[in-house]
Amino acid sequence: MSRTVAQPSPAARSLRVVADASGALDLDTLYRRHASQVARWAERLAGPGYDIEDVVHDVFLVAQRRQREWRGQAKASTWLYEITIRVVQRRRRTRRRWRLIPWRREQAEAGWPTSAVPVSPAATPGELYERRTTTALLYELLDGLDDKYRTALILFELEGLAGREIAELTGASLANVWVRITRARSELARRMQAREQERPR
Amino acid sequence: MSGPVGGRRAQPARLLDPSARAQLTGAEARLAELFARAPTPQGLDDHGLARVHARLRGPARSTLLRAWRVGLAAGALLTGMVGVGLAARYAGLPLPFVSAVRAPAPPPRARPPRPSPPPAPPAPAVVAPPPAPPAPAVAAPPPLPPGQAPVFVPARPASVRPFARGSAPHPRPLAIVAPVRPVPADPSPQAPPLPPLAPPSLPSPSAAPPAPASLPEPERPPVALASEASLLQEALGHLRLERDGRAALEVLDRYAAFHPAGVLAPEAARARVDALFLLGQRQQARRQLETLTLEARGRDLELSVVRGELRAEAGDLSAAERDFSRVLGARAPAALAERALHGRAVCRQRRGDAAGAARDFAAYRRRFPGGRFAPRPPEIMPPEGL
Repeated sequence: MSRTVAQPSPAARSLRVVADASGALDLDTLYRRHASQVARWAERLAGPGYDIEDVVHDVFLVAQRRQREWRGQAKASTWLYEITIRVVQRRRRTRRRWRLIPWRREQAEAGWPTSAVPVSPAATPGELYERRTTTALLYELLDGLDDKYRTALILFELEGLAGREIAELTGASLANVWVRITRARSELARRMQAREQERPR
Repeated sequence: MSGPVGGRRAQPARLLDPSARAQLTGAEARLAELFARAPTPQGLDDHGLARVHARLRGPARSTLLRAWRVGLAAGALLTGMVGVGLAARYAGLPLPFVSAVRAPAPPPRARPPRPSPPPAPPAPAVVAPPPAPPAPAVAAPPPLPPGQAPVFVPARPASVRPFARGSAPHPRPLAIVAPVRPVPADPSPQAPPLPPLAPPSLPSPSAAPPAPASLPEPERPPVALASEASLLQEALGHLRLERDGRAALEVLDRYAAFHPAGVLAPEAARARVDALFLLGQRQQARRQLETLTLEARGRDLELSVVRGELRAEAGDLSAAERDFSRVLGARAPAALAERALHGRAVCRQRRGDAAGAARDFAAYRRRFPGGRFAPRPPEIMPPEGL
């Protein structure tokens, strides 16, 4: 593993730190420490067209609901990461179902105006355009993949997580993670080739 | 195709690893380039995070969920009503609930004594007495003898309606039906007498409920019911879908002109209140609400709260307090009870009933500690940095 750009923050502490003396979870503290990180993960995993505020809101609601299930065996960041992955997957499934409903289809395809911070306001219009088209193309290709392949590939290539971490987050074995990544890349390359043949540059 | 390193179960090299990237070709190389250019996510700024935090702390979700359920139920109800209305209009089906309410046990209709039919003419002669007009669309139904044609024209008097709401005589009981008439009132001397059906004088409220047994069963023509439902549906469409209060009022005026004592008149009156609110005509809405007899259930509870608030705004504090008390005495939803409790406390305070106002304010703080009228802590986000 050579790239560690977006690994879980080294400042992420064990959830024990945010549990009070009675063992109850202090969600306020949890939010203060991890919300911003969760928003970045959500943006990365969901791609453009999703309301990140809503995703973050849902993640912490789930955390609140599931706080009794947490036994302290994982880091808070790992636990939240896992919840974020599931929340994003659920939203993507909902979005896919919406495509079948005529009056929702347009919204499902166009997406919502994202609430994430606009990238680098100092960037030139050309740079902004290039970023937007790159992101759109990347997520268009990724969205064609099955969720488990897509998630594994994003976590590995874009988030820079190690195989063992991905296995822990997705509940798969390490060998299975490698298989998923390999297949996802292969499928993505095939799609890219097909796209280039369809619309030659 | 696997990565440059290893087989299917070995760790593939990362696309962004410079050494591995140098060996990539074709689509994989372009894929690596695409990944490399992917922008780093920025997440949310402090305002966004604060907004989410406020949503997580506030009671907004439960309210939202409740609003969802109420909206869903209202939608289902409206769809049902519209469906029944459409069925009545286009398929010619009778409105089941209306007929059930208006005539629980419909006896065989006692028709007024027909004048004895002319002796000679056989069946075909009755079907087409005049030779010239070729099947006009407005032709009366065949069984009607020529002398009885205006029978469906005279307005059905309000006094013989078995379940007319309220016993007050309608201000315009007979004359207003004139626009419905396809032909002007024709006081032909050959018309059947119909003494019990159409009394010449204005019906008195006391005479209304005990209808004599000999009266023929009054039946509201399905056309009128369908027209009522259609007009009300149109008004509600203007209100709910287009948010156009003026158009809704126009339709409701038409409804009042055509169906002054309609079965759906109470619903129309309530829709008129909504339309006036939409137009910002609060005082007219209050006057309209004053004319309604509101029940202590359903949507009438909300209208009671609104009427109390409008009365309080107009300075009629004791009447407003009565409205609020009625809502609080019923099993009102929390949102309405909250408004009513706060409204009653304010009314009592303004009327100088300090003890009553203090009691209500205390009850409000106890029942709705985070309510919309309760003082809120100024801080939204804890001060510690993220």
